[in-house]
Amino acid sequence: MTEPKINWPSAIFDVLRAQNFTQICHVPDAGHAALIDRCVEQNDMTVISLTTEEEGIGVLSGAWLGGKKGVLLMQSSGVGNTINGFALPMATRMPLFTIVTMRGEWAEGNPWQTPMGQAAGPVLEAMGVTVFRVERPEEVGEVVGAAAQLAFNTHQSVAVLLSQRLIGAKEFK
Amino acid sequence: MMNTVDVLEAFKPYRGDALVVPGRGGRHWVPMTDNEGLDAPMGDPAMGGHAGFGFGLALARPERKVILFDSEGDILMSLGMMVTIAEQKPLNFYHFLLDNECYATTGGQPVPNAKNVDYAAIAKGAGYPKALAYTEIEDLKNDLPGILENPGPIFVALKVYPEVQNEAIGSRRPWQTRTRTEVIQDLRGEFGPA
Repeated sequence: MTEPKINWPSAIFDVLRAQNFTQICHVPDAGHAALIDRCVEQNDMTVISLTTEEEGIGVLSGAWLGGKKGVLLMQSSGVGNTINGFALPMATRMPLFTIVTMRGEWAEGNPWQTPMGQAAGPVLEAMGVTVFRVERPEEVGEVVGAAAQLAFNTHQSVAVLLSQRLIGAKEFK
Repeated sequence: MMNTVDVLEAFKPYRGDALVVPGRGGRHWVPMTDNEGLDAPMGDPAMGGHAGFGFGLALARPERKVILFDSEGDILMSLGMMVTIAEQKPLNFYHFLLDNECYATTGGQPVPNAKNVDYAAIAKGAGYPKALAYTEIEDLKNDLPGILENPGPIFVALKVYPEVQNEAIGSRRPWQTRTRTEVIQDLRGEFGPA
């Protein structure tokens, strides 16, 4: 008998609900697709599609200042687009929370994804972002929940990296 | 061409309880504001960030007008932001542009194609329902009440004289009267914690 597959996007959604997230910024990614779709279905969540990930830093900083909690959903390649933007939450001690689906690692089939994918964690840490990494589906909800609490309770920039092994390597057919 | 200080003076009587992000007009707005607790003078943050910040604030507080004084260097560095804003169409968002055609805090070098860019046309093309452009202060004064009475998002491009700063940063007269932390605390006090 096989173990039932854990629905980790649903676990993330449950955290967002439980912690009153209402502003969902994203640059679409297949790894986040199920979560984005779920958020779009909610009448009380504002889902904001961005043209580049850096926009999300400003949008979520403004949202927090207005009393709303939000998250930036992006792919590891998008991390490189955010870096200078992190100056805003860093210099003002505003919280910033992001969940990153990783590429360029486990069974990657696209060489364009490897440079930024492998640099994403170190680059975020170089900017002072606290980085969590999740490899196992059963840990997703717990880690995302704890990371979000850390961000908003202590006014830090926090990232959760969802490993490519967890989300599954993209199949090119 | 207009003076930035005249633009802000013209706007001030119509501010009401709107949230104001003065952007790079902050040095003029901070001494003249009569409700600093509703202002978010962030200084000179990472270029390109003002529009997203003001837009995020507007989405979070739909019951309050948010007035952003952006600048063309910022807009050029985050041009896609106009598309993002236009899709959401925040009715309470008023996007003013102080276009001085140059990078005034780095020596006054012209922005790319400084004299020829039509920012109102870009805003319109991005999907803003309404976009206007002014070069004369009297024309702006005449139209300001109507602009602010109508629902947003509205984009208003304003040609302003450059105020180039060439002195060393350490020698410049600071214009902020509150620290960034105090600005944040004051606004958070208005809306409560997220």
